[in-house]
Amino acid sequence: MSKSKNIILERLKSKIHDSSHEKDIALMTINGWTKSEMIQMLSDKLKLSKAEVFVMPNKELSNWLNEELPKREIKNILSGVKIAEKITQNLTSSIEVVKYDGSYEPFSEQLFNEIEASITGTVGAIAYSGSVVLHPTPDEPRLMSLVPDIHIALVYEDHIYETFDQIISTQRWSENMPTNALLISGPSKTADIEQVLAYGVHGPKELIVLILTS
Amino acid sequence: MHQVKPLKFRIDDALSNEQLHTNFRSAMSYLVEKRSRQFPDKENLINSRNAASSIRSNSLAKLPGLLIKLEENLEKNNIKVHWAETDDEANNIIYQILKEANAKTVVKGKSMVTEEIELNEFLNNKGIDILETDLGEFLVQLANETPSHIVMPAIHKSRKEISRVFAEHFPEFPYTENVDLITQQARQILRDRFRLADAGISGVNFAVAETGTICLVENEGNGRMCTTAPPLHIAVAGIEKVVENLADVPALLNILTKSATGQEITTYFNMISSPRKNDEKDGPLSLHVVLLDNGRSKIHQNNVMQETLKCIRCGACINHCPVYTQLGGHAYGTVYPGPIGITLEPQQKGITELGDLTSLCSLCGACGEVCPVQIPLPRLINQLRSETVEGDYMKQFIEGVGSQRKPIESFTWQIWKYIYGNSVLYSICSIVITKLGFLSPKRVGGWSKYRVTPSPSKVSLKQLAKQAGIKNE
Amino acid sequence: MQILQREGIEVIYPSGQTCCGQPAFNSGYRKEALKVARAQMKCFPKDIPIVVPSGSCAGMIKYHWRDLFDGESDFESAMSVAERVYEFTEFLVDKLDINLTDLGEPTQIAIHTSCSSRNEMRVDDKIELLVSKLSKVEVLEQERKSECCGFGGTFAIKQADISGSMVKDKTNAIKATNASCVISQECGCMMNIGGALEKQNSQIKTKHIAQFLWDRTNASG
Repeated sequence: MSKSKNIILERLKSKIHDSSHEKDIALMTINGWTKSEMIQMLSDKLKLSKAEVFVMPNKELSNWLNEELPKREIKNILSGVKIAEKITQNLTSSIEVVKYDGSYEPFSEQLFNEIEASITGTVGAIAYSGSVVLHPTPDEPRLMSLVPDIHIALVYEDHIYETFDQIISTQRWSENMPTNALLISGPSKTADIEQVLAYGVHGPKELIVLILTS
Repeated sequence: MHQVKPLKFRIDDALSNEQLHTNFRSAMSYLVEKRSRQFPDKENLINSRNAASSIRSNSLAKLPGLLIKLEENLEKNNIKVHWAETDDEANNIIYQILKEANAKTVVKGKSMVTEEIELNEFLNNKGIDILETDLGEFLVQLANETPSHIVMPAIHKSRKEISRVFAEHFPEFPYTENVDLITQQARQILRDRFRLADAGISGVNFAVAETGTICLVENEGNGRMCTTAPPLHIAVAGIEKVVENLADVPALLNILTKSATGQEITTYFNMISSPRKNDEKDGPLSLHVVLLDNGRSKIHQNNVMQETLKCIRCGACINHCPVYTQLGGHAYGTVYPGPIGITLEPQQKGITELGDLTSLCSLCGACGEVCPVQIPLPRLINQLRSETVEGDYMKQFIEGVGSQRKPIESFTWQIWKYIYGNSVLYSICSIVITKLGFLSPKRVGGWSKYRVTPSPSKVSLKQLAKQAGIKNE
Repeated sequence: MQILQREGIEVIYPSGQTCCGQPAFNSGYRKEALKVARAQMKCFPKDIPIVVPSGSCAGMIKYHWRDLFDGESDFESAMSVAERVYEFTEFLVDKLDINLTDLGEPTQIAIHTSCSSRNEMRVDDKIELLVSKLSKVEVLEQERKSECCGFGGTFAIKQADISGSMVKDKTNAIKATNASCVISQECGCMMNIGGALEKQNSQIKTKHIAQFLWDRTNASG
């Protein structure tokens, strides 16, 4: 209704407010933490929110998956094509790697009812708030980090930032926003019933963050 | 519109409910404590509030231009934009979008603005099934109630009450008072609804003009479900929600989550800038934003009250309000309760209908102290209170200015003015009262219900001072 | 006044004073509040500090007269009065840096800081500081001590039941400390809390800080 648009805008324009004061964003101080300090802070914060964190050299990833997935009785893992290629060769045959390689609609029932875990990359992590940052892509679609009970997120140690401001400006988000940017800071939770914390409400029940060192 | 009892009865109901008092007493203490732990450093808090306040003031100062820019960039991102001046209009727009998409089942994330326009009732009347998916809202919907707090909608319900409601609606599950089990049951019930819904509806926490992005905070994941799984997503945003730049977001997000639930950050922060692109595999195929006015542009014009629009809906003022703690949310009878509610809603719905809400405040100032964007709530409430009995400037912005002026009250203040405005008159009265103090009533209405009535002293301070030889000018 | 005089201050109590205008201002009757507030100004012409033994009255003059006199011809004069206002404990601590010798018996008290002393005048730390100078006084802290007691001036009349419920929570918290006395900078709060305590047949006394300081330092216990 462009008529409403005009009415609203006319009313808003009729008031000239004093905009002489500068906008003060108060960027958080960058402390110049070392890589290991960042890893520690990220790890501590994530654990406080009941996420699990493991730090390992990149090449150990497949071994970790081979050991941990059967231990946790995970029989299949959803993966984008790129990561699937990386891990399939070394993965034990007992674990099925399912590729999210078609559109959501025909896949939805399987995604909701059969997929037990997913593994995605990240564009980085934020140490201050204990968050991993995802920019879903055609290869790693949005629902991967939301629907399965278990979400495994891979964070490269070089991509850990101190603050949210920092990752936004360093990675120049404003120039090219992804269709969906996500900050994920733990498994899903609620305190709606008598303020008692309960986990695994609608999003993943478990978030496992693997911090990969070179 | 639900039929509501007059305010007096709603207050009585709330105050006589022991369970309610206990629930709210402990809930508010919990939330106050949580928030306080997030702000250990006084100076840091001041800086954070200054920043958040200046970002919001900036948005309001440039509002029309920012909204135009927001629309431009949303549309560039293939997100359709609609403008609604009234709540009716917004409901009709949303209905039309759903109708065109042949959407019969809708899942909804927690959104106070959709409560404001009474969307659920409207859509139900049109035969569209709309399901609340935030656990608190889900429970409140099952109980056929409205939320009593803007961040914790089921805060008025005890665990037992929730278990009972749940068991009534889902007899296939065993009765339990275990919070984890109830939560898992809810998860199970809702998963298929997310998967099969024709549309998802959400609110918006921040709308970034620079990039055409809508941002949402949540802990449960239901918001992301509603905005990602169904083929159609409709986001409803009050026009004041726009921020200028992406760089504005971190400061606001930080102070929002800390003020609201005492969290460093919520589990998910969801920033949406596009529906599903051609090469993408999931996400909504169609994405709409409805920009809602519903009285906001009028408030914006009001020089004195426009700061009301800085609100980022954190709920901190509500959590710290001693009156809200006593009454709970429902007694207010409004969508938004507590300090922000009694400031915002009389401006939207008029003083004739809601002016008496301004009396639900002892002017203690706690709200003003905690507002992350420094809205001077006590000052605004007091100003609005003044408008209920007399006013001129605001008549053009708010309906019913002066409509609550009552003859007896007005007369009393006139008498007060004459006595206290004249030192001779006052002296005479003072002598009379001190000499005839024994005649003063032992019971003075509501005061005496809870306290011993004070009686005037035998000597006035002025006389005491005189006796002590203290100079009098 | 006695405490100030004892510190060597010349005290003037202008006899023509009546009220700062707060009751009407907080009830929305600003025109009436203005008339009464204006009448106070001629009582305080000299450029000397104005000491107010009440946080809310002090706050009214210091911070709210600005709104009340906004656009009025005597706005500047009103502001010059406002500038000179000190709340009583603020004056004792900041201006006099008062010393206190405790001559009373050991006792336990609770302190009720009023909303205006906390959120307007910001002098809640002053009463605590003054009490800390009394060597035989132990302060017991009640739960939720920064929560409003429910007085709110005309609020206690207009919303008597809500106010009653608030003062009940407040007195419960105070009674739970087992203090023998609760002191405050604020007469309104004291009337409210004291009146409620008395109605509940509690033995806890209520005293204004000035009375309390005088009793403790004046060898009368």
